[in-house]
Amino acid sequence: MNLKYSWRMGFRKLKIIAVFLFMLVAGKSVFAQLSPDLVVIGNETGNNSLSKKQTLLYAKGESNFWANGKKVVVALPSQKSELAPTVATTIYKTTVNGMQKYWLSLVFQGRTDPPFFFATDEETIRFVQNNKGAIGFIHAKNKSKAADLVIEVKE
Amino acid sequence: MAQRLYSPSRLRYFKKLCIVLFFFTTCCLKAQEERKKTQINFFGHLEYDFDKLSTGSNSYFSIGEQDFFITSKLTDRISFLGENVIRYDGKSPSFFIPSIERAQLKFDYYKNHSLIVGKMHTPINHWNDVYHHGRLFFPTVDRPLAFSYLVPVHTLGIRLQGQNLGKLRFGYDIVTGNGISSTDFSDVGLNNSVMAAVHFKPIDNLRIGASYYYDYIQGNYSGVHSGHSSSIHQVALAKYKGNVNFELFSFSAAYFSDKLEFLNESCINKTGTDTLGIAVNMSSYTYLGYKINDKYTPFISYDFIDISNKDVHVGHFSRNKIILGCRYDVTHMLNVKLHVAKISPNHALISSHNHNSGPDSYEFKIQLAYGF
Repeated sequence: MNLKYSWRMGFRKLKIIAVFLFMLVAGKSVFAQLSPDLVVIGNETGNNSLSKKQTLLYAKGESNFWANGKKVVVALPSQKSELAPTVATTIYKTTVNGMQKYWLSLVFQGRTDPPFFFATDEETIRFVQNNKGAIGFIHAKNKSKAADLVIEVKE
Repeated sequence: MAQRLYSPSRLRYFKKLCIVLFFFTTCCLKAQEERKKTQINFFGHLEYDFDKLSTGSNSYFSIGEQDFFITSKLTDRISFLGENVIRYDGKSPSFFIPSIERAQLKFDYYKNHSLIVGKMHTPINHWNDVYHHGRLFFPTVDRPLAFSYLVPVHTLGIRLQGQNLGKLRFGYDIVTGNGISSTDFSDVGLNNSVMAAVHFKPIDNLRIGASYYYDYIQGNYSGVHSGHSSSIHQVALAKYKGNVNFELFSFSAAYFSDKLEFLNESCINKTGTDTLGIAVNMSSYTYLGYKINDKYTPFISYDFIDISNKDVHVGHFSRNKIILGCRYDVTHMLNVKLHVAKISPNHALISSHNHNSGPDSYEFKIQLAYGF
């Protein structure tokens, strides 16, 4: 009787652990996306897809060149853009002011080139189209306007 | 009249004009869309001081360093950074002088590896490498005391730099350039200063670094690449005119997250002469801040410096400074900081080093720092 009871308890524990692990894995895959509102676009970066880690590396100015040798040029939403808070929290884990200060400080240190700020997605798309090696962020609703520039972000 | 206005020749002229204007406007728009190659920034600060409360109070406003900052991309791999500052100088008739703080060309020769030539900030400790003149980026009002006495803040030379390498985001700087006794135009000896610095960022917002600096100071003379402000005057008063071996070991740990801010930087400095032996000097600076929200960051910091009585370069003294203050970030381009500080001779070390004792001094400062 006791043996049967302990088996049942053990099975229950296993189920709980399995559910917990599933939630952890499922949660991780959700967090792997930058944000459902955000689409990454790029021009001649040599990548149709990037990992989340790589995307952050390039967007934060920590890597200056793409694997194809093109210089990384970062295009970001300006304070006027509706997308700015999403990019600031998702990529830089800070506020819009914090994101702007992050870049001002990085440029002041002489560690990287300054990024370019745009008020609308249309401006960002146009800039990325005209600059090889550029990476930018637009709202998911405008994904179709830059279909040929979209970079998929994977785990 | 109407016939003359809309004559075929005039219409052809307007047509041509429209085509030229259309072409010109398109070209202008295109140029705007392409990346700009040069960017100009400006940094500066204004201050109110109420100090020397124990010896006769002073109350005054002052204009701090006004910093013209320019970056330009010459090619995809070569860039220029220039920083010219107008700052207070008591020896100048107008009490202000222009100063070239940085003029450097950077060549990104391979991925995140670069070669830099020109006048630059030395990569000694977090403060000098990251903030230097940028009061806007300072977490507090003032620099650590070591900045004025121990840290050679500039050099003019060549630097190999690497950054964000590997998983730990390792970085290195190897520099050789004009030493402490030199100016931006010449040096008196054959030897150059050498320094090496490493840092790594194992997690976001954390940077840990260490550095080593060596210079052979000709005639114990302090030029333009020594510590800022008082050290130059202090050294000018030094009686010893022989050569000095100068070594500086530094360590720094910085953690600046959305809530907690922490910085520690410590230095051990050895100055040696053939006849007088070796003097060991120390400094340590610790800052702790906590962001209550997006705007307010109260902070506390402790700064201490001890120059040995054997030292012939800076001269024997000891000081500690306890600071309590608050930073208010108006925007990313403007902040206001205020602090109350108690500055005192380092009583804890008086017995061991027989330091001159003096009265404690208090100060109150408000600083407005801007950059855009």
